[in-house]
Amino acid sequence: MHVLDWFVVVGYLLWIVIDGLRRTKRATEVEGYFLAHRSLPWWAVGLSVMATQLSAITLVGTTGQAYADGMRFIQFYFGLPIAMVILSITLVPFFYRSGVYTAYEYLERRFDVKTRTLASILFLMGRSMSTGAIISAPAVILSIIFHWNLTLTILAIGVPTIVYTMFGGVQAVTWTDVKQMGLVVGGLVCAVVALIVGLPHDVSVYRALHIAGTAGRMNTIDFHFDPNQTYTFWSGILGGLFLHLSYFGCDQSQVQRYLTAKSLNQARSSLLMSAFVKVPLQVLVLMVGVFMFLFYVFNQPPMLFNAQHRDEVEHSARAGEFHALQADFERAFAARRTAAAALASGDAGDRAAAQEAFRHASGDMRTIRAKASAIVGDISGGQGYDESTGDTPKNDVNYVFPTFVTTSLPPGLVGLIIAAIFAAAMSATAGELSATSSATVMDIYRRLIRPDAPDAHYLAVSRLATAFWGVVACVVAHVAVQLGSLIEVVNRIGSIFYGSLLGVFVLALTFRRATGTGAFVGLLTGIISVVIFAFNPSTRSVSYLWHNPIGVAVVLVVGIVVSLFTAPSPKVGRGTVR
Amino acid sequence: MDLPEASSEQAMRRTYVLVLVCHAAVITLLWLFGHLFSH
Repeated sequence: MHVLDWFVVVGYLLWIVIDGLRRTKRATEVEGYFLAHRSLPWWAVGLSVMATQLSAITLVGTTGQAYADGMRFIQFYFGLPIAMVILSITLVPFFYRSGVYTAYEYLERRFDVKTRTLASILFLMGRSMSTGAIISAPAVILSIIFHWNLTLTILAIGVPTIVYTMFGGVQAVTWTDVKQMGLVVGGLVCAVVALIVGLPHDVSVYRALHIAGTAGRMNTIDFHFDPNQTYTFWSGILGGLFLHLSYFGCDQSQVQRYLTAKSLNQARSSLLMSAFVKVPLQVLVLMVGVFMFLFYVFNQPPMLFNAQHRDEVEHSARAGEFHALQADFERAFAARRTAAAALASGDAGDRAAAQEAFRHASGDMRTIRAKASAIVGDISGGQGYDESTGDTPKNDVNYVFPTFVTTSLPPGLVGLIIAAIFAAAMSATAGELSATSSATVMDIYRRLIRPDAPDAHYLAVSRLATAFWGVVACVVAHVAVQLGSLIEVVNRIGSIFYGSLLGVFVLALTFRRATGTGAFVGLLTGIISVVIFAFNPSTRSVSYLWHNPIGVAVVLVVGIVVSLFTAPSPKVGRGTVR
Repeated sequence: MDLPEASSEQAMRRTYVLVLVCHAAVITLLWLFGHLFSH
C-alpha cells in the first residue's frame, strides 16, 4: 500500500477515536451511557441506524454479489420501508413512552421476567456471532489482499471500536456513525466515478449498461414466486418485511438507536429516514458491483480473486493444470471483450451475433472458473468453492471489490476506500457492542444478579460488558472466516432468531389474552422450529428470508394455544393495543 | 390527545403515506431501469 494510503487509513483511525471521545457528554450515568439522556437529533439517530446496518459486509459482500449476480439483491430491501412505517405506528411509541432501556424490558412489563430473559439471551447469542462476522469480513479480506497479519487486522478494527464505545457509550457511537456514514457514501461515490471514468473512451455509460444487461446483471426485479430463489420480489416484500420488522423492532442494536432521540416523533423520523434512503443507497452499492463487472469486461480479471488460494495452487502438483485453465480463461476473456466492443459500437445488424458471442464467451469463462475453483477447493480445502454466486465461486465473491480497489485505483483513493471499509465495520460493530452491553447489564445483571447497586457501579459494569463483548467479537471473527458470501452468513444467523423474536412482540401487542407462559413456550418453540427448518435436508434449500414469517407464525400459533390453557398473569392487558 | 399532538400525528400520517408512495415509485423505476437494459 502506498504511503499516502497508509496516511489516510491511520489518520482516519486516530481521528475517529479522538472525535468519538470528544463528542461524549454526560456519559457518567447509565442513562447517558446507554440512552444519551434521550437528547439526540433525528438526523444523527437516522444516520446511526443506517450505519449500524451498513457494515463492511455490505460494502465488500454486496458489491461482489452485484459483480457476480447483478442487481437482483436489491429486492431484499423491498420490505424495509413498509416495516419502518408499521414500526413507527406500533412498536416505537410503546418503547419510547415506556422509558425502557432495552426492547426486552418491555416483554417483562407485558409478560414476565422469564420471557424477557429468554429474548435477551437469544439476542445476545445471535449478535455475539454476527458481530464476529462483521469484523471478520474486512479483516480476512484485507489481510489476504495486503498480506497483513489476520490477528493484527482484526485488532486494528476491534480495539479502536472497543475504546470509543467503552468510554463514550451510545453518544460516541452515534456521532462517529454520522462521520463514518459520510466516509462510506463518499467512498462509494468515488468508486462509481472512478469506474465510469475507467470505461473505454468509445463506450458510453448507456451502452455499457446494455452490456451488463446482456450478461444478466440488470435483472432488478423477479416476480416469479419460487421459495427456493433467495431474492425475488415476493421474498423481499414479504420475507424481507418480516426480517426488517424484526431487525428494527426487536433487535436491541436498532431499538437502542431510536430510544436516544429527543422525542417520539424524532425517533419515528429517524426510522423513516432509512425508509427513504436505504433502497437508493443500496442501488448505489450494487451499481459499484455492476460497474466493476463492466470494468472487468474490458480489463483482464483474475481467474480467481482470492490471491492466497491462487498462490497455494500455483505451488502445488496441480499448477500445470491450473496454468492451462488460465490460458483458456484469457482466450475466453479476449473473445468476450471483442464481443462487448461490437455490442458497444451499436451497429444493429451485428447486435444479435455479438450478443450470442458475448454470452458464449461468458459461459466459457464461467465453466473455466468452475474448473479452477474445483482445483482450489481440493488443494486449499477452502469451503464455498463447490457453490457459486452467479458466475463466480461463492468464496471468491468477497474478494472482487478489494482486488479492484487495490489494483486499479490511484494512491489516496485506495486509502479512502480502505478507510471506508474500516468505517463501515467499526460503525456496525460499535452499535452492536453498545447494544449487547445494554442487554447484558439491564436485562441480566441489574435485573437478575444485582438489582440494588448505585449508578456508578452499573456504569462500571456496562463498560466492562462492552469490553467483554468486544473481545468475544474479535475471537468469533477468527472462527467466522470461510463461510461463503459473508452478507448471507450474517443474514442467515439473524433469520434463525429474528422471526421468533418478532413473533413474541406481535403476540404481546395483538393478543390481550396472551400469558407469560404462552409467550415463553411460543418463543422457544419458534426458535426450535426455525432451526429444524433451516438445517433439515428437505427444507434447507428454502430461502432464509422465509425463516422470518415461519418463526412469527409458529410463535403466534403456539403462544395463543398455550395462553388459552394457562392462567393469565396479573399484568395481562398492559402494553397491548387497545 | 391535545391539539398540537393531534396535528403532529396528522403530519406523521402524511409522512407514512409519502414513504409508501415513494417506495412504490422507486420499485417501478427499478423495474423500468432493469427492463430497459435487459431487453
